[in-house]
Amino acid sequence: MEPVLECSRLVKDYEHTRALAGVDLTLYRGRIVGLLGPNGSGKTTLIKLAAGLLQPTAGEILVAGRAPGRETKALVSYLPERTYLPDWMSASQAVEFFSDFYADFDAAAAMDMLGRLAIPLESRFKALSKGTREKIQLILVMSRRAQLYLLDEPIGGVDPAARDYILQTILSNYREDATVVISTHLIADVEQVLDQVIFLRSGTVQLCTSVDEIRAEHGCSVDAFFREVYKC
Amino acid sequence: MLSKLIKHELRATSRPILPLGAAMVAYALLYRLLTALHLTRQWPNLDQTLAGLGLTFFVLLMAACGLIGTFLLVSRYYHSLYTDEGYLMNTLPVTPGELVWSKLLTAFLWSVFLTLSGIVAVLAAAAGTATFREVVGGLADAIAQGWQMLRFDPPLRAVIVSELVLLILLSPLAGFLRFYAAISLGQLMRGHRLLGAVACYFALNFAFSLAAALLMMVTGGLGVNLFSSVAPSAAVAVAWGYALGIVVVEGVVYFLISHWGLSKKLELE
Amino acid sequence: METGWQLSADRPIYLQLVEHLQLSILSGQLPPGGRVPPVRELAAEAGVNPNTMQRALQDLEQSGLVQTQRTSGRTVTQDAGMIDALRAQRARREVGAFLDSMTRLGMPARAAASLAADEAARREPQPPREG
Repeated sequence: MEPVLECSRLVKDYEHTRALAGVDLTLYRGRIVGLLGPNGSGKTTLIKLAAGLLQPTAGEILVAGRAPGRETKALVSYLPERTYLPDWMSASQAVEFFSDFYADFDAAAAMDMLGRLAIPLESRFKALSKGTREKIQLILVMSRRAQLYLLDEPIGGVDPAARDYILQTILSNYREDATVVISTHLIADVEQVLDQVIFLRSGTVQLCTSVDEIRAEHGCSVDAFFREVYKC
Repeated sequence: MLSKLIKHELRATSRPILPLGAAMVAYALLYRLLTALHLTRQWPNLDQTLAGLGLTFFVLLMAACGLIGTFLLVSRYYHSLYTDEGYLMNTLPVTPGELVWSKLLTAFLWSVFLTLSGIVAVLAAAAGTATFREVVGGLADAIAQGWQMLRFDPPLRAVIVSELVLLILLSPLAGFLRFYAAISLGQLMRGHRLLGAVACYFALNFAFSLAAALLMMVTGGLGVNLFSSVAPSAAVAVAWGYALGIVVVEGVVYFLISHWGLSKKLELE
Repeated sequence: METGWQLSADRPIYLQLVEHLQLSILSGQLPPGGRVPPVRELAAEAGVNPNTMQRALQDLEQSGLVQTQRTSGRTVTQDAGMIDALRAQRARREVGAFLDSMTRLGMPARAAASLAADEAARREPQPPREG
């Protein structure tokens, strides 16, 4: 099968800034990839481009061999950093919504996970805490049998127990034809789960290698190495 | 996918809009009840004043419901596509065209709902009263007259009637699309997106009115002859034909702008 | 994550997984000839990437400790000699590490060794029968 994500000389400009300055990248299937970099390095921009929310300024991005559009959106499961479910919806309505629009959505798995985390199914999102909303969004995203998962800071504001649950869910959902991209700055917590890490800085790929290679070559964790590379 | 989008749209918008229709009908019934009771019949002046006030308020209420309904539907477009919820809607496996159509058709359905509610309210308030019978009678006569005038020219009659129907149906669609296009254009103005949208709305309105006027002038040279040499009924057909043409062109242009806004120029915060 | 799999952050993960699996074999947790759980299960238990776990298992396959049957997945070798050799190798390593840390305490190797013998005698009062 073709690589799940390919970028060649990808450039994205905003009004006053160049967010991506020529990204070349190929991601193969069956990987769990960490997208690491300081704020402003272009991580979210890259993810949004793959999700089809932005158009490239120059260069090319392909998801499963196609330019981002309606067909790739059916293959991509995207978790943004923000709450994106409407206030008036409840968890069970959200499950219904995802079932309606995504053929690869596993409603039974979603309900199971919601039940295990004791999430109230009929309360509107307006009434739920931020942490609960984030958990619901993550469950919805991970209940899809997508080919590319794009998780933007999935463990940012979450307590350690929930964090473990999230990483466990990512591992147990692993499939050989799918790739999970986790963009985060909490590297120490996710390191073990990743095969590959991509260091992004100022809109270009600085490094693209495996966790074990970094550890073998530098004798330290990826987290320690990252701090070293990006220290101010 | 489109029907699913519409279903979702209707569900999302029913909570604020159904009460508007209900309010109109409820008020009409209340008005009818109170006037029937003639509570103040002992004071004829007061009676009349109150009836007048009640009626004025009724008209204002209907206008307000219309405005609020429009505002809700337009802000729904903005909210669901260009704010945080946009992250959900714009990553669905649907085309930008389907997104615009779903909002448009939902807006149309609610417009029909509010119009029907308004009609029901008017009937509730006034059916059976003398004034009502007069007004309706007058209207019926006028329509019958018009119908009679064209009895010798069934094709023309058909054209005029269909033009009228299309104008009634398509004008609100073009109206909503104008809002959508304005919102899409406003998005290009970083930092002043809402203000930009408002400005673009009036700009689009002005631009098309200008275009329509120019069109009239240009064909006026021919039109003057046309209108004077031809029966009034044919003139009506031509005039409405122009109006219809402009509405259709407007609708298409606004749709294309909205589509372009979602597919090429989406930059969610 | 699973407290059973203690993984340190500065060594390659797959090497640590290899060691942990070797230990499981030596301790009898994964008995000779017994089935090795599937990669995904092991990876989830250890809280690591399945590809990394796969690499560790392949490493064990190469060294012969684990075999892949075409139909029934992976099994631990039945070669007692190989397991014993591994045990001896790991034990030697532990001994080396022990002596190193004794040296750091300022206790010379021979003294450390006799201390160890005393402690062993205390734990196993009857010396094990030969053969």
